[in-house]
Amino acid sequence: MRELLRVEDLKVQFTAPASLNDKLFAGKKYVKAVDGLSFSINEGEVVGLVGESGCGKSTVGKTLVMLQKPKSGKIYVDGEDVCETKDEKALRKKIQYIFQDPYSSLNPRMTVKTILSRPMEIFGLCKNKDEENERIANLLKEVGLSQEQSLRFPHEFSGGQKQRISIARALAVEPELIIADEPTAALDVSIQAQILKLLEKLRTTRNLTMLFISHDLGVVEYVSDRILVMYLGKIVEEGPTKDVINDPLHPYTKALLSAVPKNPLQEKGEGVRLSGSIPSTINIPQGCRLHPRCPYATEACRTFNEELIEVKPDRKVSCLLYKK
Amino acid sequence: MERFKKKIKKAWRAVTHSQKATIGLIMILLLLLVALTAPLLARYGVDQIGAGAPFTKPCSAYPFGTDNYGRDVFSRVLIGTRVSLRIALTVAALSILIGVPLGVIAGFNGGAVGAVIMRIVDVMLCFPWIMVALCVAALIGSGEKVIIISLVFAYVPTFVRLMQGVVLSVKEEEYIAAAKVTGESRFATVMKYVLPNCLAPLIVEATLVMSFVVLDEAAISYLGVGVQPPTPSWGVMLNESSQFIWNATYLSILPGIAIAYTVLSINLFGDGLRDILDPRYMGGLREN
Repeated sequence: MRELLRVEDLKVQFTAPASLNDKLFAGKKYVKAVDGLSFSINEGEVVGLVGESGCGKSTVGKTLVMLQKPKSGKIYVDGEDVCETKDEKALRKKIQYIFQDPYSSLNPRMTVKTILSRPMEIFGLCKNKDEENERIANLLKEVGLSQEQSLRFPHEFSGGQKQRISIARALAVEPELIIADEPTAALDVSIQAQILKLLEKLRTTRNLTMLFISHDLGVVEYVSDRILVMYLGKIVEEGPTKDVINDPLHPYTKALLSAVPKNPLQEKGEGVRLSGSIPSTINIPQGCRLHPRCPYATEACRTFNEELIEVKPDRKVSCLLYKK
Repeated sequence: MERFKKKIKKAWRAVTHSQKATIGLIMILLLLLVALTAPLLARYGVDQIGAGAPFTKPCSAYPFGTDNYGRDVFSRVLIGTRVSLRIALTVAALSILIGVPLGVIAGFNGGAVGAVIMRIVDVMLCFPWIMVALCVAALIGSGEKVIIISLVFAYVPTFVRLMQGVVLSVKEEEYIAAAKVTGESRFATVMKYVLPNCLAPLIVEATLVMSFVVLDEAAISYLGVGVQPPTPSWGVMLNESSQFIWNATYLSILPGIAIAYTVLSINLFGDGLRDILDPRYMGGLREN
């Protein structure tokens, strides 16, 4: 299995807004949006990245497509270091991004045809206009739109259709890896299902490799083979979708699943409720970052180094409860 | 040639799609026609002193009367069209050509370059442009050049600040990030994604500036460093006639109407153009 994406100890920070007094005497403060993230994605795999709002999942996606500079760490796309690449264009062809909000991610002044033809022109994928038109027609058909709609402007489409255009744009350069950043979050539920089905279909027809970022466990369960659970900028649990959903190990994952209405954990009496609310990413708790909120926390958790412990093959969790 | 014809046809369809633009365009074309044929239409020379008796009331020979030197007001307004239009268009075009790129650079790049540009613009705004006009006149002598240079100096900052603000907000839009992801270069991003989305406020501002320039020109000419008598310009005529406004009101009417007409036509066309360029208004225009 070819490893398409490898992320090693990725850290992304933003300077927190501070008063001049704080800047001079207390030093700069940083929002640690992503705080030491490592994972990899193999060819043909769909990996779900879940976590609550503000945990840094979108920042991960943006960093992977070079919209955001990492503070440290390495990102390898198909073996090539993203941060030190000399040929940015070649990398951009390999990795594409589907934005969360289809209402703002399409240029309102371009027709659908132009939106789709620009990437092809940039990468010189078509020899002539006829080939380009044919490819655009095929792309539109693939995402469930008709060729007649190609001369329209984005505002003439519904949210679901816009997201289809957005998906078509990502596919236009035939990328090897697609980062989907909550592609269904801005859509209503019936449309969500259509978009998920479309992604599912494209996955089989195109053998897509995808990182699917979402806060919605149900959605992630539907599309992904493997799940990464993120909390405050770090992965706390990793494993095949079925295992993670049916047998969550980390207290945070348990808490997330317990929050789903009518969940099996609750019925088994194993539901977990976290106390308090999510801490600020400026002051991440020492030791295990969940310990102030975790019902199982012990004294040892305060000094835990948050390594990912391999419980069984393919199944990793960052919790002292599982350390032997 | 065939393609050019097609483009003209398309533009014509687009313009006629908007009522405002159509009316504005017709008014502007009329104005240009007058400017071009003015010497044929004018019955008297502009500096023909004593074409009639001074302060002749409007009559068939002098439709808008004669001024204090006995010059025909109607002829002077017709000829003045050229001067006023030339100055308005030149100043607006130069201000846009200089101001827009600077504003886009300041807004899109930000950082040190942007800060330097904006500070320079702030300094420029501190100079009263009448002062600038006087300084320029002292350096190169009076004339139309003075008006153009000092008014460009006055209006470049407007465009820089406008564009910087608009670009700052547009560049945060997600389609700009999307353009980067699909491999667009910075230049292409600006030309194809940023600028088209900044057009609406730019067009409005440009039409406003053109109308201001017609009036500002009068102020500079009034100081004697702008358009030199006896060359007629609407601003100068309005200014000269203001001292006789109680006794010979008719002197102010035609230059006033001419200025109002020009401003109205430019504004109408600008408004229409903004609508035409917005895809939201263009639904019925597709070629299928």
